[in-house]
Amino acid sequence: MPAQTGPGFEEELVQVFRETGEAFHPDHERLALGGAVRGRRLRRRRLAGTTGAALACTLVLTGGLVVLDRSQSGSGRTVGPAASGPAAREDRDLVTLLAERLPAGTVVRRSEGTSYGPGSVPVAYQRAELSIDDGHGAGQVQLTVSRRSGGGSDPGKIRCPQSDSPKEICTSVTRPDGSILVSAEIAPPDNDPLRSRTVSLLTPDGLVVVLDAANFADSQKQDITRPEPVLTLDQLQALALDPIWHEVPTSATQDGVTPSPGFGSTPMDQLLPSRLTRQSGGGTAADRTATLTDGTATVVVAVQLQRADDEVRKHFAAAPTLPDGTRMLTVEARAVPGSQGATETVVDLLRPDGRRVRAAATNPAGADSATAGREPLLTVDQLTSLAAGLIK
Amino acid sequence: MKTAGEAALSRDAEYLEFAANRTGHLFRSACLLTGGDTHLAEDLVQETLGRMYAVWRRSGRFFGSRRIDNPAGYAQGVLYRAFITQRRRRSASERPTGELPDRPGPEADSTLRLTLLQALARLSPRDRAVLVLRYWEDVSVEETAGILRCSSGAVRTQTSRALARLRALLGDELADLVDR
Repeated sequence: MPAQTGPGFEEELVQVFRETGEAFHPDHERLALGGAVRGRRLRRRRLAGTTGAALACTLVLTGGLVVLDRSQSGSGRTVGPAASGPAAREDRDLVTLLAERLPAGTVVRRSEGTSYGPGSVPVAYQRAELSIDDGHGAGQVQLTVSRRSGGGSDPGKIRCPQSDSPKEICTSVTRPDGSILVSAEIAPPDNDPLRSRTVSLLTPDGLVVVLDAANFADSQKQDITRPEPVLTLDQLQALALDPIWHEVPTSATQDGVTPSPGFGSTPMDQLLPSRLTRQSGGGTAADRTATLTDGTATVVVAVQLQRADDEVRKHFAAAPTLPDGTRMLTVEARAVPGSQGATETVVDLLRPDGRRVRAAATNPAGADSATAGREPLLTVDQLTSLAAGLIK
Repeated sequence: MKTAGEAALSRDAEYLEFAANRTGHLFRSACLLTGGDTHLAEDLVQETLGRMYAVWRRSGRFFGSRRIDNPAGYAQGVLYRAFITQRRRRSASERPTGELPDRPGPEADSTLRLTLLQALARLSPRDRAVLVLRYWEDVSVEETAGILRCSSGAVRTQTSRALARLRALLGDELADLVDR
């Protein structure tokens, strides 16, 4: 016999619903931006569908005209079957392609993926990040697909990392087709329970597939959710070798999309004072980083590029305008919040063409460092030259 | 007259304002629908906001200038229908377990809330949707029928059955907890 429900129960239910619902607190900004990213993707799909339909109509109409022409003159050109459209890999994004290839019984708890870097700047790779559960706890899987313009002759970063941890194991295998497959078990040398596995593939035509599995589900918090990563090395290798990744568009050479706006061709080294020597550095289509030294102290330089949206334009609304129309915000040698000795100088530029470039120079000194509290090795003027030079 | 770029910026700003106002409520509704699974709830909210963004960015010139009179109501409908569709898709790959899994609750000492969330998680998606609409959103039977695209009679029947199931799951716990 079903339990009886009455007005009293319903009143209690309203109260409990209210208390329960209101106890959840969302990350407004992340959800709103996540919605915008999905919305843009949805619009692109719809647009592609509309364009395809329009193209189909055009072909039908054109075909009709050809038939009409032949009937009139008898000399109409033979028209072959309409070429089928491009494979729908863009419609089925990397997240879906990865999710479809996971072991049977795996449940996807959370997923995200993008081919955009900071500030919606397109980057030359596609990334998918899934939180999955095989029934023994959730874990994270990440996939990155990219291409090297020069092909796959130089292994570069696709090799076993040097490690001091006795728990780490890494093998590198050159396969019969010339591709290189690197597989590694990553574990910190101490008692940290964090475990991850990574498999990287570099094919002769320059395709780079990197898969990681970890024993945490949230890459921000990295709270351990299970003893071992959610996929084995064998499973990761099988995924990495799946031919589907060859069909994923990733760069200007593959899909005709040039990352725009992007950095210019001037290397960062040419824009830095000669007294500084680069110790390390790197970057993507949307950022550049470098650690520099003058022999006595170091400075960390980070330059980020993004396309300004409405919020960014508002941020610059009251900023001084330079003669060329660039708006500029600066901060000089302020203490880095929460640090015990680090300082930073920041130059933030909004160009008239909508590109925003933010260059920061940080003195990474700790409290016990001899350089604690000193201003970074780059001045506002030097950072301005660097930022402006990188986007020329 | 606005240029295309200015119009797009204006639409983005409108979307962000809408998202800023509605994300909180959508997320809370999604948390109740998913039985407290905040990951799934975030997924649902982003799916809903994504569809809202796509609608917002429609250009009148190419796609017609259909305006949505009540964006909040529209988003609400999108959220609930997306939830039911999503659960239908997932049910093919998920297997029910005998015991309720531990769900992350909103706060550590929330016995009352966890009790409700765990009970909700054991109801069918449609039962959950009807109860959340009626007792959290305070939506009328007719509006619920519109959102779930069914008849008012079906909503009344489903509400009654869902309440009975929930009551059976909760036993006297609800009254006891409310009285604390």
